Amino acid sequence: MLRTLFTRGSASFLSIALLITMVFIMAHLPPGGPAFSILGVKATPASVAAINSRLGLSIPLWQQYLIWWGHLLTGNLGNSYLLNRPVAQILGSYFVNTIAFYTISILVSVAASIGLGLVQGVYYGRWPARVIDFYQLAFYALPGFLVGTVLIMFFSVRLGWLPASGIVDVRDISPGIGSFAAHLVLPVTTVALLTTASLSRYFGEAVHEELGKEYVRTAAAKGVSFSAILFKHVLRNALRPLITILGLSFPYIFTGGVTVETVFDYPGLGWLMWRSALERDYPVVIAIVLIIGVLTVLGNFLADVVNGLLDPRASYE
Amino acid sequence: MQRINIMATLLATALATHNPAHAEDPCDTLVIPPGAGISGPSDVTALNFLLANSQMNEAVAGMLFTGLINMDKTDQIDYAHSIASKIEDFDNGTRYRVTMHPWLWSDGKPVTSDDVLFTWETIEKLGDNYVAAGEGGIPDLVANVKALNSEQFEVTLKSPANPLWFELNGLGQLTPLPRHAWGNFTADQLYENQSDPKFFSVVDGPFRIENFVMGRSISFVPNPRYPLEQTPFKRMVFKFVNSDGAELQGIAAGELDLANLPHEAFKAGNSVANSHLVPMAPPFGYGYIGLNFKNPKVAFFNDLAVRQAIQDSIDEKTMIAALWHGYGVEVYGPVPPVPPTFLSPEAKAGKFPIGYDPAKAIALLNQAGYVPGPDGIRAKNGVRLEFTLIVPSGTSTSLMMAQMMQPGLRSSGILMHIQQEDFNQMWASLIRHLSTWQAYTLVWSTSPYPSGETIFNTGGAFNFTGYSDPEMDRLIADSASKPGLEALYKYQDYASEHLPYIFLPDTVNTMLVRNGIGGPDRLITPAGGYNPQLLTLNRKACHAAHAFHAR
Repeated sequence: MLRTLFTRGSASFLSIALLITMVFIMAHLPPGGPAFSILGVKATPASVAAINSRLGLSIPLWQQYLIWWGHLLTGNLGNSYLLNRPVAQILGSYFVNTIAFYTISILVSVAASIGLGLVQGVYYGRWPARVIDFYQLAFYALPGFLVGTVLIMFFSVRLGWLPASGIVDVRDISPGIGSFAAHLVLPVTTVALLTTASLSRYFGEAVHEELGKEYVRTAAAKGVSFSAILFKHVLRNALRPLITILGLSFPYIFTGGVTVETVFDYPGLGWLMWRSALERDYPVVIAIVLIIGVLTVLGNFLADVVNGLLDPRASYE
Repeated sequence: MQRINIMATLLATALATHNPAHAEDPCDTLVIPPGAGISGPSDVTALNFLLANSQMNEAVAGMLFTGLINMDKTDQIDYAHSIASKIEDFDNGTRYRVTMHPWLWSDGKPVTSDDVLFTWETIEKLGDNYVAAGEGGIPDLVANVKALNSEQFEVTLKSPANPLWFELNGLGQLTPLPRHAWGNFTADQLYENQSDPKFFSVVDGPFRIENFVMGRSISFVPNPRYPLEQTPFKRMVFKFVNSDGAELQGIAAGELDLANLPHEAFKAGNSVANSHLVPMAPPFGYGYIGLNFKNPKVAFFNDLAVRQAIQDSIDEKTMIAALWHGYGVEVYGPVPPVPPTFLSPEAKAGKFPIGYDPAKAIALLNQAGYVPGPDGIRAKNGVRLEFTLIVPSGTSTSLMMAQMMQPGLRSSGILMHIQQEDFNQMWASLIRHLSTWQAYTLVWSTSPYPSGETIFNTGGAFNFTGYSDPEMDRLIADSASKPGLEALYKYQDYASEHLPYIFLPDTVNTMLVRNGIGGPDRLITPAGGYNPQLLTLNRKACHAAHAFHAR
């Protein structure tokens, strides 16, 4: 196990280092730079040079790269060029928002996928499964911004039930957890509707497949109730592919969330990354890629661990 | 199943505890996107106007610090709302004595001439890092700044200047900053603290910062020591939004009290309940096409006949009607027509040498020897009148404007391609690669005194097109150094005819305003002043609007 952990850990570190290197180079490739975002239309060659010098961007790229790694090894992610604060400090609040948003979204998606997948597997080929089929295909094809906008138009603008944007009601001096939770409902619903569409399809297929296996017929012949077979045996076996898919979906969920975060003005990491990329705020972009890389590796690792627990035959060795 | 129960409980809690009616009176807090009325959505990222140049940051800085000079709606000095109470000039425009109103910082200490000196010393210390370096002769034209007493200071220039030019474009930059609060900080520390609200706790403007949550919102409370109009709101929040659509949704959902209404969403905006449409004063600026005079592939831009033919092929009237629903101002010269304070008599009378005249455009090109080819595109000596216009991405209006120009230009025999680039990339190309790009379009915000020394002067700080004309240089120098407006008139009439830029119309921003909020027409001044303290509140109408959304 320790050897496995070491091997996987090393491979993960190398993957992330490679990812960071590529992002570092690619971020600096397009023309422009943070000085142009800071100065806007009043940028002049002299003022751009002055700002680049102050930000340490006038030295060769390979030196900037080594300095960045040097800082990282001391736990310093650098300073945001545009927001004038340490990157770690900026990411702190966005990271908490993102974790809250995606944790709840994933929990809702998994719960809904299990429910829908079970129905789809059990009623395979019949009308309940066909209805779920329709939902899955429709929402798999729909873009997040469209689903989010429709939800806003209906629940916020027309009915006035839920807030349309932000993270808390800025009109309140001390917004409480209720305000935070209310602001999460529509973005979480959007992500959950889209994610569930794909996850539940994988899970439904797995349930259908498991229900056709011999151990199910044997258990039924022995007089085990259908619900016991479904929830004790089929569910456990069908969960494995779902967990693997979920592990692999981490980057997709994060990047796919950028549009949802934008539609709902939700201050999460995806939106911050998009904006920072546009404004060439390199330290912020690279730090977010680093976080997403680490989370993806951790997600895959966790999926392997959980799969191993569910089925001891699935071993890293 | 347990998870489903947890989520159901969370949803129920959210719906039960989220009370859109609010515990406090919702009308006590005004919620608007940053810079509403100025331009589309963007975040506030910094609070120090010496260091960060964006309209949003400047708007916030103006709310915290009262300008030495503030301009009124007619683009003249509004002494009642300025720190300066009187400006006298001596020695043929070389020496300026400024007397200041008695004014207090928010901590009770007086605003003095020493605070102005502190601003000047900081600008000098920042050098090229000062965002407005070069404008209005600051800092290069200034020989020294000295305090005469606590309420008066004197600025001496190295050479005589047109007093009006220096007062509006130069002196206006010397907004007092609190030496007693900032005096011990180095330039590096000013950078490090430019988005720290605690650093900006001592202010002299109508507002103080209550809270600044990066990427989300910035909130203000009234500064009780501000001696002029006090806002009727207990709090004012700039809620950061990501898109024009989000602003519209925000006001429709009752989350915003004012919002910019993008022209493309005009119809949808007009139907939003409990709000009304208010056209703002046009910003003191104009749209333009910058032509590259140094790129040999488009050397024909150096031919005045071609520039005039391009300007004559652009139908500004139709553009304003079709794209902006009539909310725009035609511009044919370097001085924006609203307010008309600085317009030459010719321009005031609407007598521009060049305007929309397709027949004249064709005649000009014929006369200059440009012959139509088989596809109708004209050429001379084998060089076709064909160029690529770079349009900043992200704004559909700019793209649509460019698309609307294409047919008119084509009819005259000029082929214009459109290429979109994000602003950052586009601006970098303009500055760094003068030999490659051909033309670009943007909006220019004119200085309060609309002279052209930075954009059209040979070697001007923002002259990225390579335009150079000794006569233009002379007229610009005159407008900045000779007293009176005559030189400015000559410069603008000459520029209208010789077209260092192709001038495009100026848009009039429109806002959706929630019922109960009054005075949005006083929110901005053409020269960029931002005055949310002048918004008024009709509590009864405001409550009715909020009740509608909390139904």
